[in-house]
Amino acid sequence: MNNMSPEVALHRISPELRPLLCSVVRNGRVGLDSTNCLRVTDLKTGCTSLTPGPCCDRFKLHIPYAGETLKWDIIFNAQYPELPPDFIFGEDAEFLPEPSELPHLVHWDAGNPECLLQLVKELIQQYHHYQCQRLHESSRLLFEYDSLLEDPSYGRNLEIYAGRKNTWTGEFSARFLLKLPVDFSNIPVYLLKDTALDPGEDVALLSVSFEDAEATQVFPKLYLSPSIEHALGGSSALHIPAFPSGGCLIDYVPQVCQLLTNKVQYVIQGYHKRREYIAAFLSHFGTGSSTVLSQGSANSHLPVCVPLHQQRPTLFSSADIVPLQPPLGRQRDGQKSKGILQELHPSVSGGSLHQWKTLIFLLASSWM
Amino acid sequence: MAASISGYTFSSVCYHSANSNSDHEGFLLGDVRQEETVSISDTQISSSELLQVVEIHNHDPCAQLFSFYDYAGKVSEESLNSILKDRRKNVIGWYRFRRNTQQQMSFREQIIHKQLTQLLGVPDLVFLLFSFISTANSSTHALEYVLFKPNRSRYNQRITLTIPNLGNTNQQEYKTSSVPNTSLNYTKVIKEHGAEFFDKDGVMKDIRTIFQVYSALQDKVQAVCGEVEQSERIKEKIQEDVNKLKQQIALRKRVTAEEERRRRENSQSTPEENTEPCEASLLSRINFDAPSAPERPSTSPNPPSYTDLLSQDDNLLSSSSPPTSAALLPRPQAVGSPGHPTPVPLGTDLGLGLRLGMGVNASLNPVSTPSTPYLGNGDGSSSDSLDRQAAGQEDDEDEEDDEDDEDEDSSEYENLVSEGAHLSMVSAGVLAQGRPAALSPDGDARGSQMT
Repeated sequence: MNNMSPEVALHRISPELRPLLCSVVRNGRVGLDSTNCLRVTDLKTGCTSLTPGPCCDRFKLHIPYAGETLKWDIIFNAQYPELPPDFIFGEDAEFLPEPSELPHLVHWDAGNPECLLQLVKELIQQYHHYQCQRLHESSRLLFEYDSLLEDPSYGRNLEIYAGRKNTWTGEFSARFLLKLPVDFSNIPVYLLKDTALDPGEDVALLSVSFEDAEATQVFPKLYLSPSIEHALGGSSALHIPAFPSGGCLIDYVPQVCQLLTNKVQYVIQGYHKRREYIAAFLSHFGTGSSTVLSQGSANSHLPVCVPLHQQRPTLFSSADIVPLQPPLGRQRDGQKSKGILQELHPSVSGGSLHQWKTLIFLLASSWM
Repeated sequence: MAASISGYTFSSVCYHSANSNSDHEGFLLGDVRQEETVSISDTQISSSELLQVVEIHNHDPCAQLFSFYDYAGKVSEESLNSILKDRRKNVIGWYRFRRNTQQQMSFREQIIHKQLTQLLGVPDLVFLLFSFISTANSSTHALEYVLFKPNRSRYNQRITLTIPNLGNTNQQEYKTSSVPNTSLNYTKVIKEHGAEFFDKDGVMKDIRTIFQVYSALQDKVQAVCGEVEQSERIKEKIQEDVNKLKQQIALRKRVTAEEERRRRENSQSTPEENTEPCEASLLSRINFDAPSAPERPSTSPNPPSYTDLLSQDDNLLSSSSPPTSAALLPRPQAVGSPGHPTPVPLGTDLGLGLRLGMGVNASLNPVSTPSTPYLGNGDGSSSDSLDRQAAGQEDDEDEEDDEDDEDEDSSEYENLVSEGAHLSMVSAGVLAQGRPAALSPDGDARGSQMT
């Protein structure tokens, strides 16, 4: 498989088909896992070798779905760009969607750049139905699916991949990918090293793999978007419980949701408490003394110290006071973050503040 | 199920496809026939196997894509009829050509195929997929083709497509019905150099020579077979003669035994009167038996004559021992017979400087005085009885002993007796002691009776 950047793919595709592919590679986020984009590989042509390029009109599209990557062949004809494409669904040779369920195919509009992307989304939706139908091979897994479906918060954000029956062991496996309904909107500012990088949507995905139809081997995994993971203190900060033996998803998923929610609340509360403390500290020591937020995570274990010269006003009334400057960064809403001082004292202009770093020693025990 | 396509049809489809600057499709025309193969094997009398063969005779390319179906893949029967016209009944499948794609039926192809199967009324409609696979630098192009026969359960079921004379001709018979080479240069060269390899009939010379060798070998084999047959027949005839002679011998022996028994019965009633007649009859019997007695194979190429043996024995004899004739030799008897003395162990010194174990065919008794060897015959009777036997007089016991002897041996013993009559008289006991083991075959005949 030759990985190619979107620009390379766009360069090699036939000019008439370029708009269609552009929307796929640039805006192609389908499914629950929006962090992974659609990828294009194996660009080929259906024209003769004497046809001058670029004339590629068929390629392989990689689609993330339920923890798997679907590899579908999409076949155009560069000599007839107005015609709709054809598809080869890779290993899923038995997947045959009903054309009437694909309106963007029936009413194909080559002039609409979003037409192909929309058609792919419709196909994925049909594929999801196809996988759910395959769950009928296992009553246990079908029960899991039906129970989740009853809850709209889980049923509407669910992807299922039913694996093939193992011809040797007769085992049937499946994977459930759920988007957890957890609110991450109040998580503090996430400071990125690379400000140009879009952290993307904050999402938590729970993947539960059933290695056998009787649910004796179940392996759950929690996937967090980079911003959430960073905000919660890294991958080691949060551990989800193991799937209970004999348990079911309808009991386990809410448990994980609650755990995640509690952790988020904990982080938020810790952030607010630190803010209150710093505000109180500032008000106590006046404008000379200051605190500075530690750069990075809201880990409450990081010590905060006040340099001696800044303690002078309390100790030595004649000491100079160095004004505080907030750290530079980007808030979750994309705005430059304001320093605590600016927030508490709006009269202080942001432009005069320089980036600086001061450690304030706090009693960790008060925030633990 | 199998499929076959003619070479020119296959090449025509490839030609149309290769010259198309996009995907290309069309219909396959042909016929479906059934082949029944009857095989006979040792395990069963016969077994028949039915095979459905799809024969592709021609193809009908479509002018453009989507000519008989819409974007959703729905087939229009009107468009179908306008394309096929009267060839609709000959449709046995359809084909598609697409470059640089997988050899797998696509989404739209499966939908179209399902509808064509219903509209055309061909349940075994086949789908032929061509694809050109080219390398990145376009240096190598591979034409791949797969024939699908989709069904309800499997849409990727494939069947074998054979093209006559396209394949490994080493393993298959090359079809002679192929189009000959019409090149003038080729014909000229063959004509010029063909005489070296072909004869006037157009057959290769080597082949004719090989056939000649084969024929000669066959003739030789036939001749050898005849000779073997003749020799077998001769051998069979000789075998028959031998069997007849054996039967005659057995008959004569039976007759002889009968006569002898009668004579004995007669002689018992008048023994004196019958002495001479007995002697004569004995002699006659001897004479009668002598010619017909089978010769025993000799143990040595030149067995020593009896006189030689006697001369050897003279050296072993004591001076006081009167010589006795061979006629006075004790009658041989088997070990364990009532009159048979206790055999003396080997190595026993009998006082004559001799030891036993020389294969002496005589019964021996313990000798107390070497100077007076025992002249017994082993049955308890005295040597007088031997004399009487030599003279033709026989006792009853002797007669019984005679009857105990084997018939074939009786004549040989009589021969010895007759021979002994002409030899010098030697002491029987001395002879018994000094007789060497390397005797004539007659002595060996009594080996079973030796101790």
